[in-house]
Amino acid sequence: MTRHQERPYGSDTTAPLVEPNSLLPAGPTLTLTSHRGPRHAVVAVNGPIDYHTAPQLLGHLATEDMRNVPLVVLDLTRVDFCDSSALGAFVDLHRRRTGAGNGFALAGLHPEVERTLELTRLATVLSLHTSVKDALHAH
Amino acid sequence: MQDVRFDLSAFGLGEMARCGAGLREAVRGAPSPETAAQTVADFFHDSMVDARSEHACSAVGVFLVRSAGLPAATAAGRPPAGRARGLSLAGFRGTYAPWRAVTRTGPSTLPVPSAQAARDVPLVYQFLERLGACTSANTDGPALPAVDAEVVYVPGGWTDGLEEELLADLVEHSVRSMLLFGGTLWPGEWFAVALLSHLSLPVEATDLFRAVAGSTGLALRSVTRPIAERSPAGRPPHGADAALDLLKTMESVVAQCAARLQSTVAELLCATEELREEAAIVELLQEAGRTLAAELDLDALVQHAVDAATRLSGAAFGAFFYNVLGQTGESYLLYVISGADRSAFDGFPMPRNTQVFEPTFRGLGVVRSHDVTADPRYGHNAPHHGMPKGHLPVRSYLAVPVTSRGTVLGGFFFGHPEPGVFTERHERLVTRVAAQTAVALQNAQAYRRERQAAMELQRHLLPTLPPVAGIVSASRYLPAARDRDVGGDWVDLIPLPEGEVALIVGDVMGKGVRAAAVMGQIRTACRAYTQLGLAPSQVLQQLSVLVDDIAPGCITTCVYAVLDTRRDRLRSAVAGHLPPVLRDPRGRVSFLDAQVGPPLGVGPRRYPQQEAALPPGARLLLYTDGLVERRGRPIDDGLRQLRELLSGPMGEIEADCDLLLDTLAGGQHDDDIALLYLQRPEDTAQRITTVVRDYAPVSGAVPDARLVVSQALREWGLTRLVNDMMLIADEMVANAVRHAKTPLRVELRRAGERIVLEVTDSSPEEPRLIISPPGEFGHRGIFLVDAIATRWGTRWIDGGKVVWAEIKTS
Repeated sequence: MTRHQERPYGSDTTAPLVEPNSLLPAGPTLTLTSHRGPRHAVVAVNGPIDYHTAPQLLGHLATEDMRNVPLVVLDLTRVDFCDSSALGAFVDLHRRRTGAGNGFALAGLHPEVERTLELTRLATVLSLHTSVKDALHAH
Repeated sequence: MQDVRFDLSAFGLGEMARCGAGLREAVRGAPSPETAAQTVADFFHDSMVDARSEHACSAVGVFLVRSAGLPAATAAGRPPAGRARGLSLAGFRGTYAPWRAVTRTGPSTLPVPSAQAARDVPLVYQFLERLGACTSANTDGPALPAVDAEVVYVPGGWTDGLEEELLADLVEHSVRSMLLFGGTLWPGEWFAVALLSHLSLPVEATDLFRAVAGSTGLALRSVTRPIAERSPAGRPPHGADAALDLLKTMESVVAQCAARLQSTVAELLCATEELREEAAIVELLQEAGRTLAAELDLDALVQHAVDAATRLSGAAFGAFFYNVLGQTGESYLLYVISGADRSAFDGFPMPRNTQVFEPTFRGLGVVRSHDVTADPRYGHNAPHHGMPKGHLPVRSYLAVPVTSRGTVLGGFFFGHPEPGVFTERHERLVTRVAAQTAVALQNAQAYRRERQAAMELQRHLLPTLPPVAGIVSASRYLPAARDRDVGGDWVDLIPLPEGEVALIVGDVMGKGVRAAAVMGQIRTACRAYTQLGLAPSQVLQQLSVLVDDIAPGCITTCVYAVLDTRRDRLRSAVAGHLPPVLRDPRGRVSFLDAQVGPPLGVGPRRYPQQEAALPPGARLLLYTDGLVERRGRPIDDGLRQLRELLSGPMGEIEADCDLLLDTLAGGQHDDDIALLYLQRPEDTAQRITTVVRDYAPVSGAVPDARLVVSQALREWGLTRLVNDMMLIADEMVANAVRHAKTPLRVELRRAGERIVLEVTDSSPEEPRLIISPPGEFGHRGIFLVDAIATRWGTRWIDGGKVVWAEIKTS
């Protein structure tokens, strides 16, 4: 029976560590790159979308500009992991955007991510595309 | 016609004075008593209003009683003594029909006293009767004018004698009360004014209206002449001028006094209200102080604090950010909200070291702003340059740090969508709550430290079992369900040279520090004897001497066994203890109770040694009596149940350990339970491997746990399970961070053909499986775990719970 040494929090974790005598936490980890077209925005996400990073994604897409653009495509080509918080974020975005008469699509899903969507029966609710090009073409 | 208005529902001294002056002014110069009476009716009808400035009277009647058929203006001589008088409606405004029967002109004047008058205007008649106007005997009347006033309520006692038709009329006109006032005009002449109102006038009004009756009489007298006098019309007699001047002066003084009185009363009411509010605030502060001082649970404490502070500050919503020290000494930030839903903030990153927040986070001082968006410190930091999009609107802003001896423990933040809400007073109140909170937080932390120290001590009494080649072991220590005191039960597992391992379970009778101290000594001595390489019977003999020496009369039972993993042999000796249970590889269960010696420190010190085979595939259980002994269940039943359980199908040893405890004790055990469960794996190559991590309940724990799991599985050559296990770890850790909000431990174990992931937290709440319909937000986490894991579940531990999930490797 091997018991690994318990590791103290180090710089490789992203927990909001706090300076002594202050209450200041640290920051997030997704890389988000937006490309704006005349009637659409493609947001390329790089990194896992999870409980920790989903708020950052939601925050990025909550700006007035992003809310009002007619079509948002999330390029998930570089997202190798999505958990239920990510799914929650997708559903939330989908509902808000379609409710406001705008479009929302996911493109370039890894098989693992697609499986998670299928397990939760969301594959039929969300608009999924193999590539950004397909997504733009379809909408 | 008039600009004078009186609120009849709040008729006071001032109104009384102004009303008198107004009446005389209105009537002045009236050509005839009839005109004067009509003016009086108009005056009351137009000037009396209710609280909504609408006419308060639906009808006003001015009645005169004089010598019948001889209106004052045409009177020529004193009426003959005993001659009948006449009652007339000299002035009328409004919509009340029955009075119209009493016409104004001579011939239809009603004679008084008469049954007809008493029937036609019953209430007025009764009132005049009281003034003495309706008795034929009295002709001259009193020398001084007599006045009176009364209120008749509809329906009420006075109206009992009324004919139904009249009453119905009053009710139909929405009349709630009739105010009657009048008096003697001149000797032998009377007047009465009747106000029909939809207000229910207070009975006190009669006092004031007695004076109004005086004024009305004066006004009417100024234009009528007594029949007895023959002086030319025009000026009143000389002395009356002076009296009138005096009256005017009095009225003006009364009006001024009344106005001052009214404003004083208003100020007093206002002050009373302020005092009441102040008392409520003091009470709230004291209440908050009491609650906070009594609260040792940190979660409840911070919620009480932010609730009280938000109420006292008058904020739309408030937040309390506070620093928590984790078990390994790191500190992390948590927050609670009051006045708004927590979800309103969930999407935002934690506040940063901006100019607005810095004074609070560094404990430098209070920040109070009437409009934070106009504050020079606001909006300097990218990307939001102020509040993030979707933040609840904040104009008024107040932030108070909670500090203790230079350390920042937390900070209160309050917001309100309107500017200029927070005053210096709010700041003072919140500062007081902040001071109370600081003390309470320190108390709670001290308590937490003490409790942790106590639990730590208990944990130390139960050592982490060292890994030993060729065996897999699990141990448990459960304090008695209804008793928090430390007991004297212990288990031990000591590796020895030559592939041997010593296994010990013991029980010092009694409770508390003494039992624990004796146990500690025996355990230490036992370890020493073990290192000497003594045989089980010899170890027990030595221990028996020791117990007699250090704790005479303290009954102690013990099982000492040595397992030789190379020869698969178990040598054991028992000192008055419940026998070990052995399950052979074929599932046969036996109690090793062939030879049991006396408890330690008692009687002849002979502890016969017995030997048994314990080959790979076999299991051994050492336990204390708390496992099988329970009030209302004979010990034999417990032992039988134990035998049955161990004869059944076997699973992973940790889970089986929990199953034993759940089934036999089930949280109902009266005594402490210590047990040591041992398994000899059939293939020693399939060793159990464990990875453990501790986390603060922060979102960053989620990606790290995933990383740890994926690394471990790759190391174990189980790459194909990485995705599934990562998702399970992610969901379980996120669930604990989101809901339990306590420090958590993640443990990943490889046990034969199973991978087990456990997440331990300190919250008693159970995770629930909720299946979200597609398109619904949330609750997918546990659903995913349920879909992917071979099996999953929850078990309770002292001070928290373990959520576990298992995947088969084949």
